[in-house]
Amino acid sequence: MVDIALRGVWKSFGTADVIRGLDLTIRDREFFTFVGPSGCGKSTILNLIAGLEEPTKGTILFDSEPVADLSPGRRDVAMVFQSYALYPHMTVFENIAFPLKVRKERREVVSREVGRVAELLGIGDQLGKLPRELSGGQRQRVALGRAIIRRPRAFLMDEPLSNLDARLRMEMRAEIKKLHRELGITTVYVTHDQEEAMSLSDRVAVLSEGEVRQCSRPGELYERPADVFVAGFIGSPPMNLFGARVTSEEPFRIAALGAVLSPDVSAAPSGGTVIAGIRPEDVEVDTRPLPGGLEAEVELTEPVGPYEWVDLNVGGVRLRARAEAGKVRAGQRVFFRVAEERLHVFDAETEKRL
Amino acid sequence: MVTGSQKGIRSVLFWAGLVAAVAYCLGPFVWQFITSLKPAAELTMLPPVLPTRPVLENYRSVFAARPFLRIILNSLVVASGTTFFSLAIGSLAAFALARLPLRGRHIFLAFVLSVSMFPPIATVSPLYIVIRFLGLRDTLTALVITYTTFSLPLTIWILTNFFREVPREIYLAALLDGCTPFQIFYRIFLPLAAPGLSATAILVFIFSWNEFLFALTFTSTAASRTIPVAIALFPGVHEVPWGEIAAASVVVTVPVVVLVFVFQRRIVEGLTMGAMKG
Repeated sequence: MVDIALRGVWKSFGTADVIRGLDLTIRDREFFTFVGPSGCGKSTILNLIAGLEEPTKGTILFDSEPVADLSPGRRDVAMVFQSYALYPHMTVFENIAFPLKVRKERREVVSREVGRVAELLGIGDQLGKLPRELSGGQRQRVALGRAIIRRPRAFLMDEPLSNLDARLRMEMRAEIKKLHRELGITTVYVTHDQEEAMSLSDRVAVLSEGEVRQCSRPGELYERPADVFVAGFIGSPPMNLFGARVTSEEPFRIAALGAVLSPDVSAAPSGGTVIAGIRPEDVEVDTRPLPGGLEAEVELTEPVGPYEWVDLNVGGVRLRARAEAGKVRAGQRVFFRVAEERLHVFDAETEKRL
Repeated sequence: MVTGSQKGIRSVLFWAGLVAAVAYCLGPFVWQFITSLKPAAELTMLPPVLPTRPVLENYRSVFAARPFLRIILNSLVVASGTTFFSLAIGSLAAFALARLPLRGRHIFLAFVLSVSMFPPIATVSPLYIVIRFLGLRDTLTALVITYTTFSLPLTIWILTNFFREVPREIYLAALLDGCTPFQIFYRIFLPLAAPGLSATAILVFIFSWNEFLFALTFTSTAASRTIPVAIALFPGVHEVPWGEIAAASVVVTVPVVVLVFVFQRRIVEGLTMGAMKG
């Protein structure tokens, strides 16, 4: 159980700056996720915390103690890798027991602990098998078991669910969440799947090209994204983003989608245009006219069960919206309404939230 | 479409090729074996015939008239020692070259390989001087040291490739589990490289067992002589004891054949460098 603080951390490989000026604190017992597209440096952050890489600049502190002098084995953190990294020549029992055996624990202690962990993860009957005889989900659990058994100060998880199929991923997500609740160990999680990040975490840091764009609770990320990148990254399907012209500053009005809209802003834009965003779930579609309703043509529909995602063509601008299942057809002219209170506005220059 | 007769021809050709290859490889050994069982009178008969009555006197005289048992022991000690040291030093070197972040790794490996390109005959004289200087003339130690240096390049090459195949994340996982690099070496990398170790061991063993040039140069008495040299010295001034030479050859080849059969599967795995799944 530990606070992990990253102060002014930079990491460069040769001339490439992979991590730029990271400054944040992961709180004790928190489930903290770094999310971002591939190659944005998320795995590097985990390696830095684990001690497998050294920061080029800056310090990392565990409970306010700098850990730069501690080797990875002495930092008391456990890591679960994307490829599980199980020892192929050892059985499940031996894999899970390994950290304890390295510490030269007594045989009875090792047996008992491995049994306990295996029960907890539901692999109690697999103990004699080799990794190559297990399915992906089972291997994942063995990897988790090996991490848990040490009761480390922190868990580091590097995209542990990426190699699993969709259904298994959902199952394991729930298991990981349950484990975190039961064990209460500080967890630093890394993924490129924003849905995973949102559903598992207490707080999420959205990374792009080595910089943290926003670090807040999932709800906050969804409701109030700090910039265009976060707005477009969080949420599935992604937020609709389009250019809009400022028609009036006080009160603030913009022209877009063939209408004049009045969004809520707390700052003034730097120019005459802004970037506006609205989530597909906040755009209503109907075949009958809606109050303040605007018209558009349906390009295609994507049924997802109880409702459909509808791609609209609004005078050349593509807008995704939501409709009840079966209500509209491709090629139809329909009416749509944008919930103005749900509009997000970003400065055209800085891309930051207004 | 392959017709029945085409298949038949292919089959015949295949078996013919197989028989030819086996005959070529086993031929000399079978010949020696038959020769070793011939009574003295029939040894030099032309055309060569099968023994009318197989006899064991050649084998008896090999062991009775000469200190052959001692010679076999010498060879065993040298071959085992060489194998052990080659593997011990080679595996440690391979681990460092495969895993630790060293600069100039590739240059070092190329250098190691280039050592093995020296023709042994070019190095015999200088090595003899060194061995004499160290006071190791006519000792088994001299042979073990020399053979080890010549087998190390191959050992390092094979084992480095094996260690490289172990996924990096396994190494990192072991580090985080609290292992020192040396513990990672003997707990994880050595077991995973077992096929490579077997293949290398057998190759080094055979090399030492059959080596002639250095054994001849560095040893002078039966105290440290090895098998190839001993057999080469069987012929006297007036006669060549073909029967005894044959018997001795059979005796010394059998252990190696047995070893290869026992480790056969591991050797094939090792030489084809099976991929490892983690």
